[in-house]
Amino acid sequence: MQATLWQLITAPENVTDAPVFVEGDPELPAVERVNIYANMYFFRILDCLKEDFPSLVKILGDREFHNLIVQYLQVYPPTHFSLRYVGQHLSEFLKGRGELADLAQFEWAQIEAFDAADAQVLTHEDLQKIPADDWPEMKLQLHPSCQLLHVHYNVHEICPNIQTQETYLRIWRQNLNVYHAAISADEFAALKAIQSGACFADVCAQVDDAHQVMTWLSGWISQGLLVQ
Amino acid sequence: MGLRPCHYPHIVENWPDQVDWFEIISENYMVDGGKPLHFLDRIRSRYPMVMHGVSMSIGSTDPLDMGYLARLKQLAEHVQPAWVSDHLCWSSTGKHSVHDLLPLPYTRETISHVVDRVKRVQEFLGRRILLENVSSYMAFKHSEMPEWEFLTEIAERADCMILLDVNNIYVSSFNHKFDPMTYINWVPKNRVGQFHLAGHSDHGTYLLDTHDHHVKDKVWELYVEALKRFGPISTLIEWDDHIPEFEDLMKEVARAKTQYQHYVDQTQSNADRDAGHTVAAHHST
Repeated sequence: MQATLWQLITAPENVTDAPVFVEGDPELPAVERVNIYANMYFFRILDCLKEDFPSLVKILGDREFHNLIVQYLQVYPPTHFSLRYVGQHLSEFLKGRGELADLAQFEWAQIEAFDAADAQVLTHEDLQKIPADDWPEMKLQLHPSCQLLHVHYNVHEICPNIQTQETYLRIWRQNLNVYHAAISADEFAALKAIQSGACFADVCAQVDDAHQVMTWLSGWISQGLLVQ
Repeated sequence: MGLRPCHYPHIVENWPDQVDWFEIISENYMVDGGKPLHFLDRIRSRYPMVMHGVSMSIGSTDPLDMGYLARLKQLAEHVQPAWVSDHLCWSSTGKHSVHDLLPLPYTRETISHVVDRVKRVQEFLGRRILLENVSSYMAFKHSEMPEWEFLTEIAERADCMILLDVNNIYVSSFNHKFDPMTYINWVPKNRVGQFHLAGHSDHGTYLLDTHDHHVKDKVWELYVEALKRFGPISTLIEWDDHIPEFEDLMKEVARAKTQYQHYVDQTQSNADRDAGHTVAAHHST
């Protein structure tokens, strides 16, 4: 019974035949009763995804976004108990659709950053306590909220419009707020190295000008990007 | 009142003393960190809380989601709520979530299935849970009893409590054409641990439980009847869409409080009277 109702409620088209086990009356026939649930299923998820992907809605317009979600849910019906995860495959679903996939990836990264684990941030004072001899072997750690994206469109600048452009972004949370910044390919490589557990000497080896890393390091600490 | 993110700034700036306790939607705080847990902890440090879940899917034919229950238990250990509640419904099947609260067929077979699952959940969580009656738009031909008998038998056999949603009784009574008072009068007095009140929308041929309006007059009337039968039970106003400003929502809460307080006073005066009788009887012997 539950499997039958699931099929009907999540079908992309309206329910036209109610299952025999659903009670109805002339005032509200069984088919209309099942349709109430079908509508609630779709629109609850649509509303949630509109909140999660506001820029995608802006680019596509309400009608096209609605149609996109109809198709998306056929391929990726919700499997997690929380609505928070309902959009987790949208970027994957949009693969091959250029800027839309990149934009979805960017917006999803912000959701991941929003409620990622908390951690004690590294301060300038913490860093000063580390003896100079230990620096080459020192392993820095990114804040759990930090997301690194390499996309092919300038998705962080949707106004006036998105254009093809190799773009490197870091997205992170500081003091409960989510931020993003476009960064250079070198800074991206350095942060990727930190993320993969490289020691400081190897992080510096990722870039042409190792002194540049010291400037970034100061900025990363001020922006709460590194943790103790 | 229900704790909603749009009210966080007002709460932490004013620490309103008219709020007795907050109810949280459990799933909204089953996250690793950030704003939700930050505000949860700050607000919990000042107010009692209860946890209300929407994803237990106690009536599903899928196995119990132990990953979900582990997360729920972890949150309950963190929040230390006065109680934990969810709904008498199914919300997932075939490992898919419907993100909705669907009704069950009211049969002996379903009762056995749900009772077994409630017992296992209570054992796992180490506490009794409350199950809420849902609003429904659909009923099943193979149901063998009315909803109130179904709910009552599950609560009695599983030894769980009931979160009686007065608005849901009203909505379902319209949609399925029964007398809401029959429902209220059937549910055992000692099983009800909380009331919910909410607004609904009138769609002509059916009422929809939308939680986006003031509580309707008919529901207020039914609330008074529920207070008469069950006494002063902790009451929550649910408002989840088009949420008003905090102060406006407090007006709705104040209205419920006035009704509630009337029955607190009455219960107290009955207790005093009974105590007086006891004393009088003692002196006369």
